Amino acid sequence: MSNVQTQNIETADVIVVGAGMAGSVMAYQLGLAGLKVLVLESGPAIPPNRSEYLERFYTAVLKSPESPYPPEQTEQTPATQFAPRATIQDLITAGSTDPNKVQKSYLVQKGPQLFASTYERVGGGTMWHWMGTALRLLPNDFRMRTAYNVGVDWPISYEDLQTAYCRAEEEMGVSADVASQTYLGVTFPQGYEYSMHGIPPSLVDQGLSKNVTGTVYQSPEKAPDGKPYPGVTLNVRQTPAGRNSQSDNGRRVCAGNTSCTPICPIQAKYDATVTMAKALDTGNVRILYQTVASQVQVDAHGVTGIDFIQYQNNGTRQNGTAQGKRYVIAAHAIETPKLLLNSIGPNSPKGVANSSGQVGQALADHPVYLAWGLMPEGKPLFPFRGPLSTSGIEDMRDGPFRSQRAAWRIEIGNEGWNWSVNDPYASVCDFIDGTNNGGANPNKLALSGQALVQQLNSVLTRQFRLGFLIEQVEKDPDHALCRVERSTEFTDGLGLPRPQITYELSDYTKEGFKQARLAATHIITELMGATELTNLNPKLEPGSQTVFEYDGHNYAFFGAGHLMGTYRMGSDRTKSVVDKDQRSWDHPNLFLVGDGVFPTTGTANPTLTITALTFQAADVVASDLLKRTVQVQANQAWQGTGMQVNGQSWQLAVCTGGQWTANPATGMVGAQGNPALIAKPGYTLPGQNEGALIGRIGSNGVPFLVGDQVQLPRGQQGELQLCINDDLAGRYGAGLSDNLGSLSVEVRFGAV
Amino acid sequence: MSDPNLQNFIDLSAALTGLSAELLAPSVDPINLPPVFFATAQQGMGTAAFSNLLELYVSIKSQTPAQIASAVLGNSDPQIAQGARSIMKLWLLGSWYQPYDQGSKHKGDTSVVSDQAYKQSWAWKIAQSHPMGYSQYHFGYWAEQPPTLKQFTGVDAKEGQQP
Repeated sequence: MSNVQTQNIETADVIVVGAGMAGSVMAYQLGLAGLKVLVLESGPAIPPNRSEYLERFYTAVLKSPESPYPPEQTEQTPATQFAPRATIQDLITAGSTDPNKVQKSYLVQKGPQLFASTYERVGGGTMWHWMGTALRLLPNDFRMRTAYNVGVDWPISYEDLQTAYCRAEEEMGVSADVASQTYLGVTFPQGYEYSMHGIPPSLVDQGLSKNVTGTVYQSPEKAPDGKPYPGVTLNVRQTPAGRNSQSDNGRRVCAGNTSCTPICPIQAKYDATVTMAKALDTGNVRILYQTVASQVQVDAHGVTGIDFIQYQNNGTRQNGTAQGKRYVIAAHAIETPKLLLNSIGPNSPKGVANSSGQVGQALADHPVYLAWGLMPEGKPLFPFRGPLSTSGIEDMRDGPFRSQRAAWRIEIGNEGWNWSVNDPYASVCDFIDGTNNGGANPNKLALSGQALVQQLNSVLTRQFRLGFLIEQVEKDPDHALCRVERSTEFTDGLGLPRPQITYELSDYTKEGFKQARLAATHIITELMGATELTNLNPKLEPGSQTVFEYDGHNYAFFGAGHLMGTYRMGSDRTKSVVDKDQRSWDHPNLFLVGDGVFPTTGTANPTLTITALTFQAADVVASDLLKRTVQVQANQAWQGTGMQVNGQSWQLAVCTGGQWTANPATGMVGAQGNPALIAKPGYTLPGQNEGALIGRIGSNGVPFLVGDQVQLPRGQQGELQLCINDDLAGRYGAGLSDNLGSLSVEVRFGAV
Repeated sequence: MSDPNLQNFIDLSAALTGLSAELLAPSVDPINLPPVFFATAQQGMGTAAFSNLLELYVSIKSQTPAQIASAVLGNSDPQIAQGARSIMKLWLLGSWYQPYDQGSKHKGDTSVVSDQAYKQSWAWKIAQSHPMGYSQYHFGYWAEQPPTLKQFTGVDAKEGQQP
């Protein structure tokens, strides 16, 4: 193996680390804005088609989320791999008695529990195997400290993110119906519609809905005042999904392959490669694949470059540095802090962006409580059909109980007991061997012939499972129990320190598990009349495990793949890593995006929120470099701004000061004009206030009111031109000639 | 099917799995898994044990499927009894479950025979479904009742099982 030490300098306006969801949206938005973008991606290129990934999935024994993706996990040798990642195989090893388990697991798991979620390092990122669930966070998820005196507040509110959610839903192509998503304070703009109609509910959903919807759940828990919490009416509700219910966006409509995770065989499910393809189509974005960002260089003013190591499959390597005006790290809640903490230098003694000491702190997931049941004979639900999940029970995502314990959402699975016991494999083997590993064969029947077919049919068609995605909240959010640090013992194949994980669920979170178990049993046995087969007493083996004991009972948890926290946003620079714009408090030309900025986790699958937040961060980065302020004179007709509008970017014109008038006799006004005087025909924009600020796109564009602030119309291309609302041709008097004053107008990127 | 051993393997598989020989080995079969499964079982069980199994089958092939299954699965030779169970799993799951230590293979080792073996595996049809990641259906099928078990497998569902 050679290590050629030539220094390769790459430059662009903006350097982005990571080609997953956040990196792709960032690159696309900046590329659209006309900025040159260089993306550094640690893994291999996005393949021209998915056949090789699919082949690997079909022939994998362990059909885990990582199974389709390179490198294959035939050997667990993170110490020699160039871009190793966390895998389910690693997790299994980490919980085993293998004497070499520490060397074999890429994540250096320090316990006391195991961090159970994984991710990919390939072009397109972990979005390859996201579930497709595109839920918004709830308003109270942003204000946990204010509302419930736990966790921390976000520096932004649901309202602040509302438009960005709409942009994210448009970009991903979300299928859902607004009426089904308006609950627990979630609101939508007037007349809003999702990109596509909702995904039809599966037979499993329909069976649950028949028995669950409309019933009132009275939790046995008591509020601090000793009274019970109000009962909650349960609803089986359609899940908004980034998967096609129509095929007019160039990708196929969902065919219900029931394998959204690990891989959608036909790309009916949105993934980040869709957006990255559009980014590349702007002509302004370049990607270097197999290029691992190894160190962020900073001086007293900000980031000066990002060092990288580019590797070839034959083992050769080349070092380089990427330099730009702005830097964006979009490598999620483990790889981002790993990079920052590995970047120790004279101006970053604790690592980059880490003056608060919060980098790597409060690593979170939505630890999952799985519960499963078997319907009575004669009442099949026909699982193993449709997308992996099409409905959920969302009614307990918020409520007064959140002052005491973690909330959850309930995801209804369409894959029978595949996640819980690996069916159909477990039950097939059980009924052939006369064993009961899966739980469906308590009498240990060993069958053959038609009796085997009939019994397997009976069991497999009656299965269902519920997945509780539990909010993970730290007891003391400023001194987190869960964190990512740089390992001082273990490195990867490039010699970079591996991420070391400390993971311990708080009692608040564990109490959420306890209440989840009670609710699950209620739904499965009382409401569904089914036999519950959840393992209610999982064994707590020695060493770090995905099992914990709480209040006299053992609970198993699973990873949701929702890596959050570790470089949270906040309004106090001593307690957060980035501000509300996702800009590093320490280095003003550095942005950290992705799930790591979440100050708290809520219960929504995080991808939609990652995407929405990245749209906002991209606006800030683009505005940093491209915003322009122009003076608009009252005594001139249409004035060019020099700002080209491309019809696709989200841009704002904002009046930032000045006064003017279209008629000195009526006094000076601002950008809203004089509400007492309505413009007549022949004015710049009849029907609006005289003296108001008016805009158009290109010399033939249709004039629109700017006023104090406007979202520039999308779909039109040309130069933004501005003008006072006045009698342009002098039809009614002096026209423009007697006008006085001017306004300052800032044109930047963003959404109202 | 010219090879009598292969035909015996298919007929034995049909008796054990309850799926007809015509379904396991269609006369027009572009995928042609039976010879692949034959080779997989032969290699996994070892030539001698595999031959013993087929010889046993030949000697009892005129009996009912239940009698054949009983004689094979309850055989005093554990290699026959356990090898036959692995053959059943092979058809149902597309994977070879190594039934006992044999050469370099250890009991419990599992491998997916091929992508086609996975896609054609019968457990999914028995669930009135399709392999995860291999749907031949159209948008929204999951909201509708599936075809019957008989349509999928030729076997009637248990009485009172289905609406």
